[in-house]
Amino acid sequence: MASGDLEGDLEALHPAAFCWALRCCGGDRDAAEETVQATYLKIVSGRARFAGRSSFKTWLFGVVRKTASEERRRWRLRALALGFLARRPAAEPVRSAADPAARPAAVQRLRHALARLSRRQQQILHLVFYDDLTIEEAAAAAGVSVGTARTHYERGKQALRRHLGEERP
Amino acid sequence: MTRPDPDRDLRELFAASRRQEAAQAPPFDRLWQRARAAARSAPARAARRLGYAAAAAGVLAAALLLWRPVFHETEPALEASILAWRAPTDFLLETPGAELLSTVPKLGAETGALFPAALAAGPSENRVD
Repeated sequence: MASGDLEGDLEALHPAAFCWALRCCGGDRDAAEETVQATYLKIVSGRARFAGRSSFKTWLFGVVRKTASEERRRWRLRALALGFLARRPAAEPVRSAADPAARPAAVQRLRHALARLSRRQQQILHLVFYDDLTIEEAAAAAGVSVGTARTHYERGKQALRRHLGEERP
Repeated sequence: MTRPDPDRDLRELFAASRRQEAAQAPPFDRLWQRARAAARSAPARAARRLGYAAAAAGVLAAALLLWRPVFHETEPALEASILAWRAPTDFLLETPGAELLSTVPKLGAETGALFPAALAAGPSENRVD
């Protein structure tokens, strides 16, 4: 892939990549930004190369997920080295933009309900509903088997509906 | 006829959430340029790290070389102090007649030295020849 094409493709997918990083970092905006930047660094320096075995988006999301997990590990090690087990500062919820179609209360309920799911369930639901990936693509991006992804998808959806019902005012 | 999507409500909620979060994404150019700058400085950073590692290894090697002779010099002194040491209860082992235990006895001379009165009295009356 040519450098210009690569940059254009990455730019087109940048908002989706950031949202995915946000999900992989448990809603921590700063960590998500660091993750996306570290992902771009991997791509620029050639440590991550697109081999065409999947769609570009699936590949990029896979790199973001792996980078997020490495960053999390680095943070834990750094915290241990400093002698305290403080986690990163609590994730700051993404503020609602002035979007009349956004229905802030409903979106807020969705985020609360999502936060109660397991990390894997959150990731699979995000990939399928946010990014319109198929279960197979979501499995590749999340680094799990298709069967596992399907199970997380079904159980996650059930749990999400249950939590949304509980949170309904 | 197409089947109605049973997850339409969830899709709409996720779409609204995506619009909000995507609007919060940092500008692509900023992250891309930072990544490119980091990639350009990566070789220099690696060389600097290599330099630090080499310097640390040199210091360690020098410390080992300097430390070994000092260790050998202290060794004989340590041995001498151990050999010169005497237990404070050693006198208890010096019993009377202990010198007999360190020599081989000789019949006659040694007995006479130990029992002179018996020799002067001559043969005993109780002696049976």
